[in-house]
Amino acid sequence: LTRIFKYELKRLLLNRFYIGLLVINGLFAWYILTSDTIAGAAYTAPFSPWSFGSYLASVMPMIILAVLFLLTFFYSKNEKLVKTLISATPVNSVHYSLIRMAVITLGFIFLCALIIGMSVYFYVVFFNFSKFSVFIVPVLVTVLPCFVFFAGAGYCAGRIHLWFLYALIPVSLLINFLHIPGAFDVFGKEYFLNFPLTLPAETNGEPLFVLSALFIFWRVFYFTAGALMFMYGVFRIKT
Amino acid sequence: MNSLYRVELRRLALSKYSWIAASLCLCAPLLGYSMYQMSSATITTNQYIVNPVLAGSTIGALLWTLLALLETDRVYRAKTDVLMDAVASPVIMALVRIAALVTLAAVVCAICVLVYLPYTIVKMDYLFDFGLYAVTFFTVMLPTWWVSILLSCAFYQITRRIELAGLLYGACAYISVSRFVAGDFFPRWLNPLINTYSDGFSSLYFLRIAFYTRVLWLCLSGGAYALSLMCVYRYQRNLMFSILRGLKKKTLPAVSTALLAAGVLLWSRQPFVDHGPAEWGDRDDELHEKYGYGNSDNDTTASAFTYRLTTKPATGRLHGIAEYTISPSQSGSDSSRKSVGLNWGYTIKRIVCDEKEVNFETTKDVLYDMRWTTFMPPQGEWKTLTIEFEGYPGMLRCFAPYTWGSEVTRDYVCLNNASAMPRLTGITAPQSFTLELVLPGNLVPIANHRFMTDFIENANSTKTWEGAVSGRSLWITAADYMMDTFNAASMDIDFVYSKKYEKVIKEHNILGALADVFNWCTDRLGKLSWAGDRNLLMVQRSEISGGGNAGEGWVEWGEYVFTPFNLNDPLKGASAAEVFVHEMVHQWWGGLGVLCGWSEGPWTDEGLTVYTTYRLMKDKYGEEYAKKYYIDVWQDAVDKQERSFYYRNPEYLDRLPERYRAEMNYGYMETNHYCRMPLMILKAERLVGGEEKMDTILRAIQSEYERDGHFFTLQDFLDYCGLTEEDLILDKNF
Repeated sequence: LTRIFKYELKRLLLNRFYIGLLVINGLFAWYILTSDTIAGAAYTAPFSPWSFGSYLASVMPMIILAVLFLLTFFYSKNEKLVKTLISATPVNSVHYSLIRMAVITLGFIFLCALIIGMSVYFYVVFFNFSKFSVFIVPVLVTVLPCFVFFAGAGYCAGRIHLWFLYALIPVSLLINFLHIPGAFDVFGKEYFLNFPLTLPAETNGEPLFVLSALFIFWRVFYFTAGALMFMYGVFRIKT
Repeated sequence: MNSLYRVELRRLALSKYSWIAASLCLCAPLLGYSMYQMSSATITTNQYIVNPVLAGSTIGALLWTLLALLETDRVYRAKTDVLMDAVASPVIMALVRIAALVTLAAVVCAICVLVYLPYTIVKMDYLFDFGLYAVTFFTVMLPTWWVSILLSCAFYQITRRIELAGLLYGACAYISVSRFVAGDFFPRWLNPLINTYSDGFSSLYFLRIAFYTRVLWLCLSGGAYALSLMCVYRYQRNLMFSILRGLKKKTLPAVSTALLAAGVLLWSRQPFVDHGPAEWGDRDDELHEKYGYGNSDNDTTASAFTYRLTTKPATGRLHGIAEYTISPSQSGSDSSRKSVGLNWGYTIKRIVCDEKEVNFETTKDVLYDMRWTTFMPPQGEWKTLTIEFEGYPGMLRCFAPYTWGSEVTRDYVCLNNASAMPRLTGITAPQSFTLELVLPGNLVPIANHRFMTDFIENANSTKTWEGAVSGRSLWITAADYMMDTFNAASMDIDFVYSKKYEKVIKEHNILGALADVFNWCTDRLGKLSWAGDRNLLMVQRSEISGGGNAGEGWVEWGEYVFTPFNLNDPLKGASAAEVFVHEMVHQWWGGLGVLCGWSEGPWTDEGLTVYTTYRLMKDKYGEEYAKKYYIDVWQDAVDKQERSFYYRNPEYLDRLPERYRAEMNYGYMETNHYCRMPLMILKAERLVGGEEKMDTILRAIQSEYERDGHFFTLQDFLDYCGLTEEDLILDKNF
């Protein structure tokens, strides 16, 4: 299994497309940092958890796009041609699916590390800021539900038909452009931009970083829904 | 190749994908009427020409990209590439395909022009200009489509993957539409930036820029396409092999390099926007130190100054000759270094002292909108100094997102400060000078806010206007103006506007509305202390020259104030027609009346002007209207400013890149001038006992203020009100 994992890792991540996606995501993240984040979200400091959450929510659609793009590799025509051969091997199909998803997750983690690393560099250079522990909660509530939801949905869609997976790419972008208000927004950008405006300012002029129960509910919902969709995809393989 | 082209064009013309793309392209301009409005719809030409064309350009470009990618991928998708390669070279086929695509795009664009023509003629009525209409389609929309086709095909030919080519195209498209380049003309290849057109004056200014950027991007995308032709897979071999094969033929690398170099050159040498700082900022000290600007103690005095300015509307350029005659008592005594500042787009041709040419050196730095040239007059006696220059008046980078460039076109000339006349240090020009101005025959010039009256007709349909002009700087506006003179509040007022606005002005009884404003202000604030021998001049200027402005004895306003769109909807809020009222009120606070000076803080002429405008509108439209469009707007802006992190922590502003710092500072200054100060005055009104009491105070200020050069300060205002500065600190719900 380790050999398969290494092989899939090499096949999926050590190719020019993934490197291209890394470059595009890096450029996009830097653009967001220097054009939006630098101004601060909802009049808060650019290094407030609100601004950082807004930054993550802004770059997340591009990362999700990369994840969905990587998922299309599993369902391409070439992949279908060798499916019969793979199914003839003694590898458990569920294990094989999990390995592939682990590779996708690793690809996602590298992308996240890149954009978070860039934000760390940005905050240190521009604002001499170093209290990064306040960013843990925004990372958890933004990155995890988004990834699990779209990766699960993508996996499930790809299992049904490749075109559903392709359709999910513009849908994910459309969701971003629709500016869905409130806690329902799967990326959470509107929430990070608007919710702080309803909070009272503390003595330093900044609102406290507190998340509403509704927002947490929807984050848990997206996480669970994504996990269920992924399990459904795996279950279909097994049957 | 010709026969291949015909076959490919026919095939493309019969393809269902082409029909779908063409049909959607024809529909795309419809979005410009409502959803996709990039230029202010208050200007009729923007609403019916600019916005539809811009919508059609961007949306159409995306559709052509889809078609181009599908068509380029077709033979590989159908796995007929081996057969095709056997019939014709893949490079030839790529060229034939792109030629067919751009031809089809041109045909669709021409059909688009015809389809929207009747509706545009009907809606624009007497403002319609077919030349401008057709030229906008063919110089903005069609090249944008071509650029898009070239880029998408180039990406496909490099990657040979339709989704990857789409991804690369999407990344480039995102940069073009992103906020990061929103105010920049040049990176916007997909969504060209046309700030505005003009209804009553010339629209050539932004059309020129749009055309230039299209040529620039055609060069860049053409270069990228030629480069990609080298990547077209040959003999079923890999990319590297194909590139090496492509390099063997010298034509493709040469064409590619030439086009890319031309694009880069056009970008770096563009004549429209300077490379100076993004923020206006106060750089007077630099001017003093480097060029002695403002240090006139040891200046030589010129006894006469003649200035000849020739406009060249075909190219938008100017030619100027400034001749200074030195006072006889001082001639030959001064050989110290002199400096001359001119708009950064001008080049000095020669500097002559008497008849001897003088060496000079021009800096590359742009200071305000000027580049400075220094020279040393010759030792020995000299009596005249002549400076000759020529060039295209460029705009300031910090104003580029707005509309304040100087302009020379066939139907409109607008030149200000260093765009109009050299700024010379070391020689003090006389208070009045002779101006000879060569203009297209249809234009009537206003120089330093006075009409020029004497002219000679030239053989080439131009006129040379000549007259004495007061002042040491020059503002020129010239258009096909017409003038109505009327009397209001015992003042004679010359109301000057473009001939194209005659119908609108008459239909809406604008003169009556103006008289109402003057009467109201005179009633509340007292009679203007204007004691000059000339009428108050009110001049309409092109939308391209920006909003309103006012000075001693003159008011200028942008044409959007009196567009049919605004005049037909007087209750649309404090944004359009009320700007005009604002500028007229400036005659009481600023222009002819009380001068408050200028600062980045709240206290300027603007606060009192905005407050007075609010009072006038409250009388006219009622308390609810005034609260909604004035007080609530002010309060909201001030609240946002006070919440802003950088306002609370100004020390962080210095850490920001110049561009963002400029944006922030400008935003804070605007809020201070137009929102915070009026709110403070409103608070003062409540503290002194209401509107009537405040009117009494304002009348007293107007009647007692002596215009002897000193500014009316915030402390003066507080003294009149019997308040302290602390009293005017804004708290919630004052």
